[in-house]
Amino acid sequence: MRLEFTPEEEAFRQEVRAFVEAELDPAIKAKVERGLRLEKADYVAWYTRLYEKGWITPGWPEEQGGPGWTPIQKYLFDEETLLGGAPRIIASGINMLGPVLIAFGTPEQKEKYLPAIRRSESWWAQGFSEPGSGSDLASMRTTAVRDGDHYIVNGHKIWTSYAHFCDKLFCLVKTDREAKPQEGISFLLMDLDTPGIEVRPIKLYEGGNDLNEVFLDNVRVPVENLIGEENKGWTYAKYLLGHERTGIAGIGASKQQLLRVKRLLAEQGMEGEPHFRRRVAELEIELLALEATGLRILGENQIFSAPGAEASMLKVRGTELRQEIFELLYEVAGPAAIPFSEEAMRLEGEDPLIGDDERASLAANFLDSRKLSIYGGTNEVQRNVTAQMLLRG
Amino acid sequence: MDFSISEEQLQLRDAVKRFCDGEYPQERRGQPVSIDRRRERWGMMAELGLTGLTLSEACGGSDLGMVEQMGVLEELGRCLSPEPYLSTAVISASLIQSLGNAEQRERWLAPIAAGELRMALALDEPRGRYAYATMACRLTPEGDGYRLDGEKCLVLDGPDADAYVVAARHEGSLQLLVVPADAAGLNRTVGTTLDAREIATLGFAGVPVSRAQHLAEGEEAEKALQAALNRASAALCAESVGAMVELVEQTREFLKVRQQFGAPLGKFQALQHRLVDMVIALEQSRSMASLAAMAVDEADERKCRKLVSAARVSVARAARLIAKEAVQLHGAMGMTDECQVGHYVKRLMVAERLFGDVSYHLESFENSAATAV
Repeated sequence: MRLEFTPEEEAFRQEVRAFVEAELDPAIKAKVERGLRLEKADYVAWYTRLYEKGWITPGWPEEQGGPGWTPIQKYLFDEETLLGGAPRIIASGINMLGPVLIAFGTPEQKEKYLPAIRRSESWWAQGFSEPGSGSDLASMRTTAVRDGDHYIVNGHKIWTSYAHFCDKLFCLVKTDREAKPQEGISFLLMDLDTPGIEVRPIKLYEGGNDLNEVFLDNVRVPVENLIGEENKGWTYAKYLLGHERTGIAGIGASKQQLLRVKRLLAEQGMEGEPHFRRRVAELEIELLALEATGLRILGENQIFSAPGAEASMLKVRGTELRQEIFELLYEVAGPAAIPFSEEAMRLEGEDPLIGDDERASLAANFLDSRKLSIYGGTNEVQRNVTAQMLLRG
Repeated sequence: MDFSISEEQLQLRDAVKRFCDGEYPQERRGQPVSIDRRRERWGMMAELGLTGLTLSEACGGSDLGMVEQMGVLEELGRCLSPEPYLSTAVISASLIQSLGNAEQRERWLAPIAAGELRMALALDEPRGRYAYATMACRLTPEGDGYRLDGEKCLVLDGPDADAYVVAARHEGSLQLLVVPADAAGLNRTVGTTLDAREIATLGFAGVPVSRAQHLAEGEEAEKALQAALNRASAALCAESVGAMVELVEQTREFLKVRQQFGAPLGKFQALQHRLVDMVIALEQSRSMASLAAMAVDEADERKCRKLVSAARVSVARAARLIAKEAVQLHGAMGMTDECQVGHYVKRLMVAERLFGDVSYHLESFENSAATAV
């Protein structure tokens, strides 16, 4: 056991920090730090800097353009980029589809899609959930019927993040309606401009529209767009959901938001106020415990009471802690959380009630943070999965 | 940062686990044990090298760190060991090791390593609530040495100790000294703790103290005491992790076997989720106990205190959650004296209050200017 990172790891941290300081557009950093809405161009600008540096796909193997980092390096990279105010990697091509293509795609599919993902030329939307199938994903009803060298896809996907930024869709479809729920599913790729696909934004309660519905009406998809084997899609989807382990706890993001709490308190001259001071200390300790657990998982010879459920536990604790921090931010805003305008969330125009008061975004940020315990498998599902491992046999 | 456990550390843990499983059989944990039996066990622990684990080789110790000792303490906590390991091998040993001159080390540390001496820390006072800066015990120069007057309470493992490390003051300056249990003028009252361990109140009425018994004073003593308290806190975290491991394990087992409404309790989602939250709290405690141990071995004074206090807060809150849920999930059975759950709950409640409670350690964390990690 060793408390400090190695000199090499510290040097790497400094390298990442210096890169973020030099390359991140201050206007984008300001939006991220103030919790304002980002445009696609903001994400692409940052991802392009990362691509040029060779850092856009830390989770990919080296031969596919990954940087060949150790788990600790990936951890430090996440932390430093988020602490530095960089946008998160929200592109599903990088986090989700890329690893699936690398593991199960044909050479032609890899050749066709992976380079474009790395260059941010193509953005992938994830078509998993349906109106009748949220946590119970295997009950989905979107169908794909073979017709010559095409599948004909019909159905309705929902909660598709950032589909309005995307040009492509990876999608779970039923190819065998007679089979058991998890055995008749296939994993298909499609262009979002294929005739029969319609994307409709969903207006959310905090004014944002990151989520969408995707309607699929007799969409013709070439059979070469199938990943792996027909009816094996569930396996690939599980691989995808289990793949993104580093960063699942959102430690860098939590640290960034806790710094924001302290800055906003200081700006209001409230840093010594006992209630807030104590809440900050408690959350710092909670964050330290989460961070230590994230790092302990990377160590050798560790003992865990629910082996195999580490990622679920990090997801649960990490998202719930981040929600507590966003809730505290909303408290820090005080009455400044009452006025709201969509323009102020986008730094467009000037709302006289809000001016440039950052605190006006905090109510929307709090509302938005409720998604954390819902997406990526709800925290209830994560607890179910963990309980199954604890109680089996 | 690296949480890897080495092969040597694993072997030590395994050896301690074997000893504990043999010496503290499940059904007898939490039950009273005779003093003869406990002295015998203490000798066995010395033979395994546990009592002198962190002492220098010159004193017959193994020269290992808190990280290694953490594994021992976890196992002792898991088995509700009543042995004075914390008092002797963690606190007293480290104070004498860091402050004692060659003669003093030879006199007290070699017997600790050999399992022949049991010691306890006399720090708390009746009117203090962890107010170590304002204690009323007085050490007054007299003749060639000193005289000690005052009262110490909550002396864990005090009734059976052969000697005490006592904290007193002289004109505002902290004094640390060793007083043998049979000193003239020392009056010892015996009591029990919430978790049925032994505790003493010590009255000192003009107890003569020679220069050879005096360890340190002033800033040197303050620093060493704080370091020893950090060590004690890291040790309490490890011991608590052990107790939590057992509570979680017993609860998990109970949910699997206890049948109600025609199904094991573990089939009910409301209960499953509570068990998962216990496990998450346990895993975070394991991480924080390791962090505290590393801080004791490596960090500078301020950072060590900050990390150790963070660990105490985190572990205490996890322990409270696990204790309450273990009782609830066992139902009324969990509240009986026969069921082991209560014994573990009480061990955790005592650990939570030794050398600072949650409020004390939150304050200590807040007031430390050091950055955490």
